[in-house]
Amino acid sequence: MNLLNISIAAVLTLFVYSYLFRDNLLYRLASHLMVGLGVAYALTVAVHSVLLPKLMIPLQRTITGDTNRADLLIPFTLGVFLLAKAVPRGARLGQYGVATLLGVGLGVAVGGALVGTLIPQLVANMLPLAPVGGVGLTQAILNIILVAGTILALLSFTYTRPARTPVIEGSNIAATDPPSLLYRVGRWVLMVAFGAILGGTILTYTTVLVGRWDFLINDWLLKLVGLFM
Amino acid sequence: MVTCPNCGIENSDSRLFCAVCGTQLREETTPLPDPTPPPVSNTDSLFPDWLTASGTSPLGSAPSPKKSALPSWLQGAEIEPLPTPKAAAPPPVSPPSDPAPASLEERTRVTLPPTPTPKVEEAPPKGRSTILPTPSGKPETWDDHLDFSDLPEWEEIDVVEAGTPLAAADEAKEPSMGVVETQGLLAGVTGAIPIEPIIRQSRRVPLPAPPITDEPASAETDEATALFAQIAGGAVRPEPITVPRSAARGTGFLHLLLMVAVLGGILLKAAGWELFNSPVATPAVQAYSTTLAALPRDATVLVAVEYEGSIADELNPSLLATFNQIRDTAPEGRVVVVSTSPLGTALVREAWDASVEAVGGKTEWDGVGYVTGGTAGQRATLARYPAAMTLVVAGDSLAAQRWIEQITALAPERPLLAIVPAGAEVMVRPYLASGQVDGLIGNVTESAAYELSQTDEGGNAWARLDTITLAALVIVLAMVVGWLRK
Repeated sequence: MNLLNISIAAVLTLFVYSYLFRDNLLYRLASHLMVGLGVAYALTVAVHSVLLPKLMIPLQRTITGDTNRADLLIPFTLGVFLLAKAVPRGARLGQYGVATLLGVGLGVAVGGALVGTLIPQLVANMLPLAPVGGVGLTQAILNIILVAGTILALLSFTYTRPARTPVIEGSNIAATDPPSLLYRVGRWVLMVAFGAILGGTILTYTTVLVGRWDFLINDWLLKLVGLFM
Repeated sequence: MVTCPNCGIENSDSRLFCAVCGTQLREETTPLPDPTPPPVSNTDSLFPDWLTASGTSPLGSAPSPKKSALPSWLQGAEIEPLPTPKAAAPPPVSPPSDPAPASLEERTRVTLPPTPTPKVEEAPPKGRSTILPTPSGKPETWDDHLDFSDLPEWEEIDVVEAGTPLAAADEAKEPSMGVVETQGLLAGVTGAIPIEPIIRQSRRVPLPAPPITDEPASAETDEATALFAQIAGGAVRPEPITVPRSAARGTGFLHLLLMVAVLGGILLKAAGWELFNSPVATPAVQAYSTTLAALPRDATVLVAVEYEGSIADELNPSLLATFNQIRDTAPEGRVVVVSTSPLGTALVREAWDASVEAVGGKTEWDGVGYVTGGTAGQRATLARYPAAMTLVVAGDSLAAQRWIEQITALAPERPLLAIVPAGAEVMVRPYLASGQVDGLIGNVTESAAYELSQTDEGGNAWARLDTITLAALVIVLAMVVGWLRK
């Protein structure tokens, strides 16, 4: 049975790989299966893990008198209002649910971003720039590069800075200064970071590719061959 | 308002050329129509005309302001006063004679002095546009009276005159496709309104009016209109862009090379070959292992998960090794798994079951399951399940950041470990540097190093590392070859 499950997974993997030749029915079958099963599984998990045990069953028990969870009527009502957004006439009711979601979500997210990212990262960037107090010369140089790179990268985010325009005599178009050296260095820092992210992404894709091939060969093909031998 | 004889658009009286098609509306010397009379004052309208005909209001209101003899555009200019007529000399006493009686015309003839020329303002210095006065004294729009003749030459985009065939236009200049297609589109849609002169008109010089003829539109316009109609109606589908065979030849070879590298690496590893040296554990991996080793025997570990099946091949080997160490370090403990993605719990369960099969032990599994509500749900879950340590397993940097922020905000003193793929490592590593994350496994190399630190045989990550390294080398080779061929 285990080999059957593995074989189904392996065959579907090969169906997806058939797209390398061209778009075909097998690839579409695999992709439709993936989307459909993913949505169905997510819906099942949402119903059985969230809606039923955390909302519907406690409300049912409240009605029968086994427990007192009348407070769940509030999220139940907001959820129903949210469903009303599917109907044009009831769209205004859904705004209450959306407002609650957005308000609570944004409030928690902004607070977390402030306390969890902005302030700790600012504190972490306050590094000693001189080789004193136990800080070696190499470390001091690295600290200077780190702090300078951070500041220059932030400075290069000048969305309101006008693009460089040529000077035209007799016109009333104001000529802007060419990009400064600091601005260019900040852009290069950003490009190095983005290049590192791209390299990591490629490594991730390569890892996943090798993982699939390892599954196809070691976990499926060799076992299949061993079954018949 | 003046109606253009060519396009029929109404223009203001002061315009010399039509604002739409550029047709000349009047000669420059043609006088403007009389302006509308000024409105009557409110007090005068209350009284009949015979009472106000005397020029003064019965109420004795202030006399109406004296109308200036000069138009507004000349007011303020230095105008030489009219020469005062010389006092007529007394007629000489002529001897009595019988002069012929002067005619009425001769007796009433008045000789006026010559009209002085009004002084016009000096032209401004070069480089500034000049606003010329208009006969009405009111420059209504810029197009009426701005003179750009003193400006340097602009690069002409379209200097093709109206009516020039498209072929000749293409030879002279290269009008943008948008101009040509817009021309055909508008000609087909609008029909009577000749938009062509507007599209091709230079912004400075109004083109002469196109001749009004009954000739049909050009063949190119008809063809463009017909093609557009076919595309809009769905009868014609644009041809898909195909890559020339010559350009695709090189990429096929590199794809084949990549497949050979991957297949060869897997087979060689299966045969027991080691192509590269074992990876060395980085400080981040050492801290990761040390933090896990410091867990109490009955510790509760909260595993916060947010990744999908597509990335499981990279994260699950590290997760399996982590569960092995937890089951070894905290045999009486508990692992609580929460996931903000529907598939997360199932993926973690796969690693857990493999760990149970490999290591055994009595560490409990508590799969809380899917948590909804985004960041609010994360915060509520963290508050509901206190733990001795938190492990974040995320498929991308944003998911990892959300969990790390909430954990840092709620329980900054709690040890925090993270497993992320290589694509998210760059964005998560600053949290390691700032001390918010105590240990990090960010790529397959660190994962293999962690596996080797736990067991001598390693795990899936170590088994695939040589193949992944070979494939990465081929990709780098492809990039270099592509850059050299460019």
